[in-house]
Amino acid sequence: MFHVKQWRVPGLLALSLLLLLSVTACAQAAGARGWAGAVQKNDLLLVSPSGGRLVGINRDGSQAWRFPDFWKIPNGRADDLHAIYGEPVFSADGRVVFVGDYNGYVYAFRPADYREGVTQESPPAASLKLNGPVIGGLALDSATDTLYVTSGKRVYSLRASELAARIDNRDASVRTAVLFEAGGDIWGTPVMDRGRLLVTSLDGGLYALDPVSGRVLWSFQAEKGLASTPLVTGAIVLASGFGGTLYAVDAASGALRWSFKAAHWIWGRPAIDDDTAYVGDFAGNVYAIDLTSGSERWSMPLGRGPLRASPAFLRGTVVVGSDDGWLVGIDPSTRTKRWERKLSTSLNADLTAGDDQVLIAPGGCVRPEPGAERIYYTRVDPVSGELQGTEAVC
Amino acid sequence: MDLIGDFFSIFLITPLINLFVLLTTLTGNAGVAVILLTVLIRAATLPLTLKQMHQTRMMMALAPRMQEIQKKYRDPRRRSEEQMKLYREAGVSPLGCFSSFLLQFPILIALYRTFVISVGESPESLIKLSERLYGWEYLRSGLPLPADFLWLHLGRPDPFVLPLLVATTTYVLQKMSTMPAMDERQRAQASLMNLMMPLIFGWITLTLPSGLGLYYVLSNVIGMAMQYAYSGGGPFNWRALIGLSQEPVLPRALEARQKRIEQVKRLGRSEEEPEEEAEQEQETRRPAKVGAAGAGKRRRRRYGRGRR
Repeated sequence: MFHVKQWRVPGLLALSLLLLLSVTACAQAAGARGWAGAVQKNDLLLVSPSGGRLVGINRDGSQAWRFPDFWKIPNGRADDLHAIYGEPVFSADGRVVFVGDYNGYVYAFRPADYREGVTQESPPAASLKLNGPVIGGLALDSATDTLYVTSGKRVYSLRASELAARIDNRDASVRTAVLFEAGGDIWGTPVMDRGRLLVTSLDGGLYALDPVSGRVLWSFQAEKGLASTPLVTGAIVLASGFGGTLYAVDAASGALRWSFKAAHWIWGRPAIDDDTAYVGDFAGNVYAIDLTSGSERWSMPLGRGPLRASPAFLRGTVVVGSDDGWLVGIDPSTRTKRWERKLSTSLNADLTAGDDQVLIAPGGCVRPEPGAERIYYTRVDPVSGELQGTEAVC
Repeated sequence: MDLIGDFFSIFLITPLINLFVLLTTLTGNAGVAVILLTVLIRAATLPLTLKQMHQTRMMMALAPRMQEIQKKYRDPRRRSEEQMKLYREAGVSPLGCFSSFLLQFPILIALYRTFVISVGESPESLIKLSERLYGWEYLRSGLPLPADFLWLHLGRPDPFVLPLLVATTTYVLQKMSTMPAMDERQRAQASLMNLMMPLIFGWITLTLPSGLGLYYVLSNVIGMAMQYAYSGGGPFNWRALIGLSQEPVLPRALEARQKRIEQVKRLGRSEEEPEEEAEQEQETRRPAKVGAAGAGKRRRRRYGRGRR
């Protein structure tokens, strides 16, 4: 038995502490993790297997390096990366990697500065703080040495070489300008096309910008927010988002050519095969759309969870990944599944067509079977569905 | 644990998310939706809040009798038995004062999840939101939700104003709900509580989505209005609120407590009252198994009469 008056103070304090702990646990469960697609550069594959980490994987599956773990970032506030959404980009000479993070920083580092078993001290990396979270990612115009970075509602332009110079000289100045500010956040990666910078925004706008002045050359307004990275194919730009509509806009004028309405949101870019666009929606459907008219050629309900990631088309197979962790290969000629694999982790990062395999970047390592070593899958054969991965990054 | 989590998710978090998305889509403003949601939740939990207010007042009224029992009985077991007997006779549950607080706890966690998922800034939160929405297409039409309200982004923590408002309103509500302590020890405990709780809640708000902080502030304001009405209105003692006086913040509440204390005193004498004996005689004519429980119910009924 207890006396209420005596119990009340410590009891309420304990309950408050419990509340705090619960909230903290919830916060960890609901945080941003990122879904940067895999990038292949010569023999090096760049993936982001967990929130705020970028890993270089050699051709033999060994880990070449891990950023930011093996680097030293002079700015103490910048060394806590949260989530990487946009794919990292290489400088024109391929020596420097630029990457943006949800924490609002953009980083530059040289992969060659770190050699496993040789490097004694952590090599330096450069960082630059922008206004908001970097979700859309970066685009590099090598011709003008300009790096375009989306941050919150803004597109920043900065000199790539100046940011790279900060690796060796932490006090080096980096000229940064706000090129453009949209009415909503920018979640798609900016794309350079024929001297124009194409940007989508959650305000529903698809903007073609002058890459120097930031002047809007033309714009297209969708009914709902646009979240996909614009895709230029021929004379049209494809963009989609939360209205569940895929828009095809004239690349020269911004005029609407056609639109295609899906059952749910279309967040990923389509994969293109000749005159057909393949795209998935959040209801788990895959659509084949005629690129000239925008009409549906066929659709296929997969029932494998929301399809956020852009699909890939390679060797006659459409490969899609789902938030529920399914990887499915579809034969478009017969409209049937060739194979499907269940990974126990989300597949929200865009799939990329490599030389003969599709590059994937799952949300984490998985255990193929009970008792087996954890593995991080990086490639899938589009025809057989055979997976390749590495244990080195787990 | 999974079962509890699923139950919590299906029957509390998901309905709250859908309700919040619906209100935001209807009003076009997430802040207005938070206000409406707060009013709806307070209305749904009103019976429990009223019960808790009544129980708290009864506990305060029983305090002098409790002190008497503590002085009278040295054996802890006997003391506890007498205390529980008094609670039973007065129709009070020792945990009754916490019922509203305990209910707030899961609601706060569910609301936290609601705001993190509904107006969270990360793209992942939007995927989670799409998975939580019911099949009605109208719910999806307003997404992503506009998260700005006044100076706040409802998915992000507010570093200054909202924590201050949470701490202040929690402090005021506590001061309005508590009576002057009967002795020094209780006074020290009450002072600690009145300071610690607002500070803890203010501090927690620093890390929470503003939507939850806004809910808590509005909920406290509604709680203050209810407390004022429950105490019978009347003047408001500002000096007591800022600690310059030991009087209650709501003087009318003191009068109500005195009435309760009188009732409790009568409870102590009631067993010798002829009316009670007559009632007991009638009770004994009923089947024996109803007798004991019926007497308790009768006593509780009598205390319930002068509830407000």
